[in-house]
Amino acid sequence: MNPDGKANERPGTHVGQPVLRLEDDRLLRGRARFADDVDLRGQLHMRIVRSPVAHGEIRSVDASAAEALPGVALVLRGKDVEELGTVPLEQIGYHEIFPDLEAFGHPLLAVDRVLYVGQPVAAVLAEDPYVAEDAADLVFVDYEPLPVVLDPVEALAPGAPELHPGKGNEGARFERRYGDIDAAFAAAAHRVSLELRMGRHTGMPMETRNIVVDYDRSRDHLSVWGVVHVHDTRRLMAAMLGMPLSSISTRPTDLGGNFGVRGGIFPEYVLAAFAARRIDRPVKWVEDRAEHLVATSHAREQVHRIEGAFDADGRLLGLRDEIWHNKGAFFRQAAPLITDITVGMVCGPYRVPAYDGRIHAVLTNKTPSGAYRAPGRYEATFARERLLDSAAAELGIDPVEIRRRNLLTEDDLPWEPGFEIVFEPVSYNSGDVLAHFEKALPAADLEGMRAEATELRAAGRVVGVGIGVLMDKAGLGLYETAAIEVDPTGRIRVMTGGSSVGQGIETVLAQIVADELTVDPGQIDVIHGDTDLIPDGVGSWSSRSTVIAGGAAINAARRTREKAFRIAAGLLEVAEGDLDLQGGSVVVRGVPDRRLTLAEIAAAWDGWTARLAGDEPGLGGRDVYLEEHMNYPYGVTVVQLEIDRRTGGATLRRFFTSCEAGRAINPLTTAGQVIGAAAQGIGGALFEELAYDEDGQPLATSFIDYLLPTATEVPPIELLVCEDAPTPDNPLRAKGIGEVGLIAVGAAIAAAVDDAVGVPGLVAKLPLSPADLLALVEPVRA
Amino acid sequence: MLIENDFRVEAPAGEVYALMLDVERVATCMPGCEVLGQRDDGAYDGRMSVKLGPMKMKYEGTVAITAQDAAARSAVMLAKGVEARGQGSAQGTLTMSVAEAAPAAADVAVATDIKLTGRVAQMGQGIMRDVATKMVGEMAANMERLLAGGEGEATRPDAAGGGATGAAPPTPPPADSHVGAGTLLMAVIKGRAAALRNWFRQLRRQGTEANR
Repeated sequence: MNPDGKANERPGTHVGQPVLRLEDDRLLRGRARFADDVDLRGQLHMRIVRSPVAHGEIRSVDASAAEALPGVALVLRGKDVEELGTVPLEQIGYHEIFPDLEAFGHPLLAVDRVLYVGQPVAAVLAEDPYVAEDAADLVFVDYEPLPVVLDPVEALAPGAPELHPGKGNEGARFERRYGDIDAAFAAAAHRVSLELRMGRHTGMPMETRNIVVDYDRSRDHLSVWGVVHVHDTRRLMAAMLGMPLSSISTRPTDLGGNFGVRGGIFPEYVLAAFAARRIDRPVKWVEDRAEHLVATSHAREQVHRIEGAFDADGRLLGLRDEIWHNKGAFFRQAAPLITDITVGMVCGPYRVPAYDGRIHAVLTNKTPSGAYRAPGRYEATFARERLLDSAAAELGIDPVEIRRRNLLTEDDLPWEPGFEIVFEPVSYNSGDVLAHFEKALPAADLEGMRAEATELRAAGRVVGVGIGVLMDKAGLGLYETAAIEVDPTGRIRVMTGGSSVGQGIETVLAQIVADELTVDPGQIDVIHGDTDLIPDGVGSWSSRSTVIAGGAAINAARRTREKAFRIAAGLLEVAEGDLDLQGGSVVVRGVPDRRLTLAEIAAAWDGWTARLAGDEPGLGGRDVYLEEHMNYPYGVTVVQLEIDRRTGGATLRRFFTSCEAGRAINPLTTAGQVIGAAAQGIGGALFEELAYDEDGQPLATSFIDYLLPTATEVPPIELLVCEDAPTPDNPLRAKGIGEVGLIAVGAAIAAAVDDAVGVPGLVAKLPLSPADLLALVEPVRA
Repeated sequence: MLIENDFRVEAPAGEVYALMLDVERVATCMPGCEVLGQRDDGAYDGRMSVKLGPMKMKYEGTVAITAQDAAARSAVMLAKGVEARGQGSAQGTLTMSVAEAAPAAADVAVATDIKLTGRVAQMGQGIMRDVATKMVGEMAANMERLLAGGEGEATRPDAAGGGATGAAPPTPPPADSHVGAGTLLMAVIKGRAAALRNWFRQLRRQGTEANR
């Protein structure tokens, strides 16, 4: 609240403006500091020995040759770190539902069995990275291979090899249902069922996982550079090492992307910290890309058996979906959460009267999977939108029309199906998806795209148009912290519990605080990732930073303003009610030359002055912002795609995507988020796949085989960002839009391929390689 | 990955088949492969070196005939090894069969199923397949020479001259030679470059046609 008791309703000077990203100055000038830029005197380099077999018993580990190599300081084997246990899962309530959850946790180093190619088996620490890598090659591990299971459906069949003896391969199962599903299917005029497969791919940040650990023996204290979610990592690291929380500090670095897949705490991080303490020297671990491809979290791989009941007009009566979610060999910290989100988001933006969803979190001999931008939504949206396209074909109506008949409108709100996602009740409480859809299609020029595709097809080209509609969920994680300090020099420091992973949070928080304090965003420094300065926080994931970290920042700024008014009232000898804040100065209303800048107030309130007045020194404020409700952005993706008949290559001729943002704090970073996400959606639909052979050997172990869409493959993205439905739940009225751009891309591309080839419901899996596309096009050619 | 090679040898099928069961001789047809001696269980200890660009892999393991069917003149040979340095392994299953083409000519089919683990897989699937195809192709060519060499060669491994059929010198490459980067990788790259050249030529032709 403002001192005048009213919420801040005045238009933003900076909020809503395309303020250039403040972080870009250092990033573009090469002045950023990443973990790999941190070098400590006396540091050792860690290299991980990884399993080359997908499932096997370890008969022996012989590290004698590695230990004998000059420059090698330490070799850690599984037995050396066994007592530290496995990496614990997030304590957010799943343990009560699944008491065995920790049995699937990831060991730091394998002791007697390995469960996937890439699993850490030993760690070598040496004076330089070259010696470390050579020494790692000298560690001889004798494996006895065991049968592997790679497919999530096969893994639950009787007789499948068991990964964790006695525990079965189903690590968790979620069921979400409401309405009378049997009655819905009994009454249906049309029933459509499909089996769909979403391939395995991952976020592929430019910066791989890295960590630098310094050890201060005088205080038994660890300083850590390079982790993303610092508070969580610090907490779990302290627990595993048996250290007080206060004995571990994280230090800020720049982060070259996250996308969820490098956000957690990994075995390698704990190993580096353990080794630093054991050997009393700093330890640095920089992951190479080949390791990253087999050892960071993978994502996405799911099988959906989805079934829809429709009335004679194509209205949805009920949805069933049984899902197999391939989690890989172990559960990462947030593993159950992604499975939970998937089954909770299948119905998306539609009026589904009855739903019966079931999802199996399945263990297989592949790399463990984690959250990747829009976890569960990309997969479930692909399945549901495929179902709607097939149903439209069966009913003989346009894919647009079937969506029109089923999309949620304002009249349906609040839409509360009566279940929870990640322990938060689902409630769509603002907006009108149908109205957005009707606005987006003309903006996309759907009719023009279709007419052009028809013309080109008549000329023998393979061109089609596809639509996908999405509902996202954003802003999980309950709370975030912020603290503001005004320095006597005039610089204003905003300390956030969020993480700056490239999304532009430094700029957005600066804009928000700048408006509250009537200063320029350039005066503001946003600090993150330092647990000494920011002892508590949650971090950036689930499109939560703008809404939740922003909410905390706005409140901390308002507290700062209150304090400025209180101090200034005393210094200027006027009543607080006579003061106003203008251009970074507290001004006496009607007497413009009686003013104090925020810097002057901060300087006046030094320790002695403040303490004599019985107050905290300095000018600032702090806040913990609580947000118990997720927000639900939605949007539409429309693509026009051409397939080359000879090569199977796909070209995105047009790419349109829209979203309802509630309020865009910065149109530039909003566009950046949506466009970046769209590029990743294109990757997952046409390029990126972490394929395995039948023995569980990964086939994509470099960028030769793991293809990312580059500037030549990503078309210009036509963008429509709407601010028609501000969310009522937060002071910024914003929805989290970090993921929307990705969610319906797979669905829209699949639909466009169907349309191009002229066979509705043809595409049953993603990604589609040129070979896949050729196989789809060829029967039609003949 | 499965790689198949077929060739004809001007020798009676029975003789060719018998020769094929001689593990010590056949194994050395694989470039860079060396047989060290026989074990009690009949298998042979072996060693193989492969050099691919900057990577040099040395595998140690065993070679053995795991199945044979004299009536059908077919046999399965299994070679497997682990990297002496590093964390990889290699396994090759050779399914070999001999069919009579004429009284003094035999058709030999060799199907090689190769499984590789470890850093060698990082070369990329396309390159790996090309390299493996090239290696197995050389092995098949060496086998062809060996089998065609017949008795004379078998008794005189150092013989430089041709056998009764006048085929190329039957001597397999020296045991300690490894498949060198210069030859193998360059052959693969040359093959790819040729394919690319043809493709461009084709495109140009089409372009010319389209312009007419």
